[in-house]
Amino acid sequence: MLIIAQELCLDCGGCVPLCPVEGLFLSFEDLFCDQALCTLCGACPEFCPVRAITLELKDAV
Amino acid sequence: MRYDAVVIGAGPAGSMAAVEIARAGFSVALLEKHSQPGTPLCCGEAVSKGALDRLMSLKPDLISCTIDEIKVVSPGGKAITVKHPGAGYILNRPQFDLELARQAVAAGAELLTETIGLQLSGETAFESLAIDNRKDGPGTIDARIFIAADGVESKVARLAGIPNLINVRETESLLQYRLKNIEVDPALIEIYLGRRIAPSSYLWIFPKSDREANVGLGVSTRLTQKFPPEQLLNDFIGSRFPGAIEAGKFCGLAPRYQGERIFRLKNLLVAGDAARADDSISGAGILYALLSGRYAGMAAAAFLRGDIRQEAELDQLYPKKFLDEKGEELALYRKLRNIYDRLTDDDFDEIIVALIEFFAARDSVAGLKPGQILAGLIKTRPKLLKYVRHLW
Repeated sequence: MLIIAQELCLDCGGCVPLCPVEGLFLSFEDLFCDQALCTLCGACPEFCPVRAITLELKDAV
Repeated sequence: MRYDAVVIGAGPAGSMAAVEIARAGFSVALLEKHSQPGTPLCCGEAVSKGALDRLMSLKPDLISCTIDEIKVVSPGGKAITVKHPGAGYILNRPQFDLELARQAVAAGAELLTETIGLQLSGETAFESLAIDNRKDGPGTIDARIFIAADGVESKVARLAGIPNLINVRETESLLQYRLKNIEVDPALIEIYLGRRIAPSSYLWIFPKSDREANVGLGVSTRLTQKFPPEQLLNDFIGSRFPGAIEAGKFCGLAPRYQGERIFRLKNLLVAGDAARADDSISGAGILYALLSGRYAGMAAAAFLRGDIRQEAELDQLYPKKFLDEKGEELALYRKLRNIYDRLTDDDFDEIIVALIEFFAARDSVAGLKPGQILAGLIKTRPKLLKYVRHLW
């Protein structure tokens, strides 16, 4: 699943238009991910310059 | 709530639009997600002085530094310093944004802070925007025209159904520190090129005073795993400014967007970064935001006055006027971006050497057109034609 470290996120919103399934939402100051939509494509963690977004691949083989 | 117009985003584009609508005598709500415009900072704060001066007069406290020289350093360490008195400003961007929003309010706009748009609805045209206010909770604003100026995130454009997905390959990941306890020339911008410094982008030093600067870099997003921006920036700062104190950290996305720019859908106009109106080379967007916001606001006012009967006629005012002024420039930057991406570190070294020779006989770059510089470079380095041909 996608993990967002709110304490690292600087609220820039740059990851939002990169999400191909429109699964990222920036509310007033917090970034949210709709885990049901997320395909773990990796675009947002690849972008995030402060490493606030990571992928946790628990079930990966 | 009902207004003649709603502008979403109180950045440069949104505030300029709201000023134009309010000055035309119409009611306008200016929505801002944060508690005040200008925060958080997601910007290097550099802007062309001449272009900005043509758009507005600035109070001195909105300017941190005036730039007279630009230094570009190649990957191999070859440096060229070009004198260009009054080339640019380093703005006090939070105050700049705040001042623009104040001007909109002074003109009659109502600034609604801590307010976000949730849903646009309407039959043939958009008629209402569902909102959420942090203190007052959900609500609805009805209006006859809407302007999305909500930045690169562009939530409202997306809500309207404008496809604004950016391919990750067309983006740069930006990271910038505000450094204090350093020594810099307050009239000098420094740019560092090279794949080991800022892969597919550049590193910048924008002075805020002689003891403070914005130091940042971009990395092509597809390369961030191999070249983490934080590590690259820390390496540079560690060697160049060993005693620096970090006084702020900022990040953002620079779109090198190659797709179609969409400026209008029905009675929703899109301005600034939300419309991807930025320089594909440097990522600069302040001037384009100001200008596109102004024209979007003028078009909205004309629509509200009844000068325009059909929504499609809006296009003749916005984006046409904006593109008449800036369209060719934006298209050229896109082409240059494609060339930039092909350049190797050796190419950068060779271009800097050619520029050093070109400028050796000149005291200043002022008045020179890009085409003249390009012609001068090709004359001494015909090899560069292999890249320049991509311009046509």
